[in-house]
Amino acid sequence: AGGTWASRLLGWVRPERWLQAGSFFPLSCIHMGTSLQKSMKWEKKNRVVYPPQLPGEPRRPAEIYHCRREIKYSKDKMWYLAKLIKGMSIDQALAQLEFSDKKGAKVIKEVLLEAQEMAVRNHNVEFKSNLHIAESLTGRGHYVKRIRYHGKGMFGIMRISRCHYFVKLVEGPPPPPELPKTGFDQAKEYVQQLRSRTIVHTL
Amino acid sequence: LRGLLQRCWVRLERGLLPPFSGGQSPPWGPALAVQGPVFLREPVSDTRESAEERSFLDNILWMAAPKKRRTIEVNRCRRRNNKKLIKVKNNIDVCPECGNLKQKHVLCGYCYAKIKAETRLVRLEIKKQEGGPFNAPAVETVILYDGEKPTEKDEGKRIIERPRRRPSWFVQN
Repeated sequence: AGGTWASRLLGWVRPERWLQAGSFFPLSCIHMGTSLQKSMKWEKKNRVVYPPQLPGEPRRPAEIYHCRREIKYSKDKMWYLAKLIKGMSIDQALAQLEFSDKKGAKVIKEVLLEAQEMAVRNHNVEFKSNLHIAESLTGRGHYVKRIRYHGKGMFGIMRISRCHYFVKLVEGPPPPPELPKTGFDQAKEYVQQLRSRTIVHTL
Repeated sequence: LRGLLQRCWVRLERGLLPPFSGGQSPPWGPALAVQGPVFLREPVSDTRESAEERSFLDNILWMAAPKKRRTIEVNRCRRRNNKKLIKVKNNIDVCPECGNLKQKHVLCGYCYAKIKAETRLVRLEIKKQEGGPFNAPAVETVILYDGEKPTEKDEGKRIIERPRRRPSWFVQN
């Protein structure tokens, strides 16, 4: 029984399988997104250059994209913090994160301060407080499997999880929170729907 | 008729064999000689282990187990309902001394760290003066900074000198 357990344990340790598949069947790799290469799409968003604005157009607010990769934290736990600061002004977000007891709060605070610094230095933002958080997301980083030793020679396989954190700061005051839909609004919409009906296949 | 009989016999065998695969003595063995063969076949430790395994496998039938996979929609409803989201704190103020943020019912972290550093240096001075453990005198202590002389009130007290300017937050009595 011990022998089968050991073979099952070592069964997943086969990284050369990826490279072998690629060399034998080159055509099958066309549609495979090679996950060994990291995708840096969020970092590239900062490099977007818009054409100069015409004199009559309203001013386009500055957008700053920042992220941190491979944070040693769980993406689900980080999501709660990301959800907390979504839509807040940067000062309020920093205040909330400073007094949060979570491990990810410290990391997110550093990311926000870095992004604020970047905004003032590189992205022509006048007031560092005039920023709000338009988007804040978490993503899954690389997971690694490790053995967790239990009693009586038993073991479990635990995963060490990492996450990414993405934030988009936009210049300007935070947008007002959406009011929850009242019954009156829903009724008005329903009546509007009824009124906009047309009779088909008639004069 | 022979086919029917054969099928009945196969069904009987199938019905008899599964209970026998448990390792117990065969049901058609002699009733009085049940104890003997069981002990002669296996050593004691094996019976204990096999009994444990068998009871473990039996217990599985009575243990609670999920019937269906919880869909991601159901999981999201549970993980994202209001009780589980982090609440926004409304007890954060600005410290009037240093301007950092502080919670209303908690001391300002920056000011506290400042005072902690100074206290640590004072304690080092005390350690130098005392020399060893259990040497604390039975009198009060007074901390004097640069250019301060002990007054009449500080007659019998122990004096600790700190070679720096008196910090603004440390008010002299």
